[in-house]
Amino acid sequence: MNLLAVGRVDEAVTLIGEAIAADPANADLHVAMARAHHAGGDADETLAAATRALALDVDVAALHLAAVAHRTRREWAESLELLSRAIDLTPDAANLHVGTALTLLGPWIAPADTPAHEAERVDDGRVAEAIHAADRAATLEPELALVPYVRGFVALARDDLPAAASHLETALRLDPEWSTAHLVLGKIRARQGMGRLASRHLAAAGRLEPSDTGALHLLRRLTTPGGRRARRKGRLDLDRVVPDARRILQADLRIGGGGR
Amino acid sequence: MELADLLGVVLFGSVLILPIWATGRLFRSVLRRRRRLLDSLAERGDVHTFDMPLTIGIILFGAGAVFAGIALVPGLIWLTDGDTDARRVFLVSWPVFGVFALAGRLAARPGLRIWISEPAGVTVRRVGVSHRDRGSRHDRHVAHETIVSFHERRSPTGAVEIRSTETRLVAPMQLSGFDELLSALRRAAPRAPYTSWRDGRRDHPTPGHPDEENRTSFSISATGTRVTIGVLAALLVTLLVWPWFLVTGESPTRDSFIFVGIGLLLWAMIAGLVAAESFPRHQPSVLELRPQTLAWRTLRGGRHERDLREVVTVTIETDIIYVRGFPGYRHPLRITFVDGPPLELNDARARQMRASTRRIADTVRRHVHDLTRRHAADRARADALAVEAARARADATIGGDARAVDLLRRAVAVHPHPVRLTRLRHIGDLHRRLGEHDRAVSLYRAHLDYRPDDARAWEGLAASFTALNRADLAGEATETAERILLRTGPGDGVNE
Repeated sequence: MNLLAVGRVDEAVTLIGEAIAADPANADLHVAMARAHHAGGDADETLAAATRALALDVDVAALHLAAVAHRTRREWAESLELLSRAIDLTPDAANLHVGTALTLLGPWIAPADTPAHEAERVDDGRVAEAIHAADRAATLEPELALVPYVRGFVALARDDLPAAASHLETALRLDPEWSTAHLVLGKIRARQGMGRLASRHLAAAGRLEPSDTGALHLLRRLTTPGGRRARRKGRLDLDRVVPDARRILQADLRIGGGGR
Repeated sequence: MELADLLGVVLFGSVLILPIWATGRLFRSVLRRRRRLLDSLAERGDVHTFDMPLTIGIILFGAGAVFAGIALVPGLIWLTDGDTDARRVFLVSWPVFGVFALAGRLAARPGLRIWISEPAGVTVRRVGVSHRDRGSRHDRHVAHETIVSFHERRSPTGAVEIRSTETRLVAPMQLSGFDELLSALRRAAPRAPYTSWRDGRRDHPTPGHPDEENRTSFSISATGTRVTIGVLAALLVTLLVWPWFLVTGESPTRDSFIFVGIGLLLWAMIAGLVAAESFPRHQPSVLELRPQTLAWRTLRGGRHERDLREVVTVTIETDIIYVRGFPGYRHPLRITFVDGPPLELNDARARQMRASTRRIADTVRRHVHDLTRRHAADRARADALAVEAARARADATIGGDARAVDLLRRAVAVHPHPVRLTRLRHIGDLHRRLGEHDRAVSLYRAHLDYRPDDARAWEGLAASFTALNRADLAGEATETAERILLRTGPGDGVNE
């Protein structure tokens, strides 16, 4: 686990793999392997390891990891089923309720790249269920930053941008170093037409998670090196973004990033 | 070329260049003084200048100087040859120069007009041609909150007008830094009506007559204006038509009577349009603040009266009206009730009542929100309504929200306690969720009276304006929200 904390996922996978080879019937090792793959961002391997662990022993952690993997693969029903089983085992775990809410709101949280994904964004009572799950999590752990994060997505599903932004601001007050929340809030601010504020959050997301190029990509789209036509489209001049964002973009321009 | 010819050419060149050089020196000195003055004023705020008179003055004076320089040539011929024609030309040239110089001086007389955009408002200062700062004795200051409207008119014949409750400032075109001045005003304008009312008390005394504070009725005199319009119309028809008979010397015929008839009809239509525009029927002609009620009368004789406990919001809206493509800002007053249509009163009607919408709004709001006019039972009833609204909201359905918003509006109206008034934003949010953006706007505005720095309310206002297809107003509200958030948002390690 210490290797995972410092980001050495491959080494962790190798070591856990060796341990599993020595003791294949140890469910905890399979859970550890699932956790390592989850940290590495490999949903398929996470699911495979969690399924092996569940075959040996029905454990809450394995159920949760499998549910998260299904959520990443946009398999909402399977994810909800596993989370429901996990909640039956430990009803007072706030993160499971948050997970349920996140899965229910999955179609809105995950990027909608295809018309099929867009079609998934139908509120057939799922949003109300997500609110209920978030409320339950808030009752169990009021200071959990994930709760306002989930509420933000509830508002986003209802296209209520001011409320979504407000909830995400609350989430960031609870956890100011949360890059994903900064990224989402940056997107919302950009949609609201607050380019400068968006650039602040996107710069923060880029600073906190330099390996994630999503923030940089959005910053590029938000700004323009110049030109009246681009400005008419609501883009900002480089000198109008916050200093952190300007530094990131200037570095990006120096290395010729983004094909600008 | 002989030496004498060469000398002649040099002399001619010199007499042309010399006056231009002297004029240039003179105006460089003037411009240096001007720069120093502007630098000193820049410490107070953004400085915008209009110096067209000076430019015209320089051109006229320079032209006169060149003319005078050329006149030196016949003067030299007269001195050397004693030519009388040259003498005549020389002597006549000087008065011409005098005329040019005088015209230049007169043209430059308005001097430099400087607009200083300060945090509290706009100050206009005029300085003479010399640009010596004579201090602030003749400054005209217009506070942001007294600015009722301003027009962005930049046609060749137009001017920029900034109208306030007391002053009308006209800035001609080509004002340098004009865009910055307008954007400063745009930023201030939507906020203007709110800065005067915080926490239920006035920040600034009402300018004007001391009795304004205790004014309990606002009314217009429509009859006088109607008579004036009628008399003017009749006078104009007479002036236009009758001399035609005198000039032609003809007796009035049937055709001429038809002609006069058509003219009268047209003028009646114009007078009717003017009357309709100036005296909209749905707006009150008399507004009275009675001890427990708010009463108003419209021009068609309609009488209305609402209990003070039915008034939910008293707000100044911001509206942009485009006239021939140029935006002008208006701040109409809007009073909403627990049910029924709102009461609206625009800037023109307020002026007819010898007041401004802001002043009327302040007076009405003070009257409506005066808790001494409420009974103890009202407070209990408001609390009960709030509890019932909370129950309705717990229902978590759209129907629940609609019921809750109705109950909360009634609670605010029945007992407008300052704490309850600060929750107006929540009612606005509920209205917005229900798609009632028009009502949401009024609620957000009312909330911003108490919490002008609440970015969330500005965001909600922007969202409602967007839904109402008012992109211009939405843009301004978004800009304000962003400014507040950049100033007060959660720290994320970014140095601003």
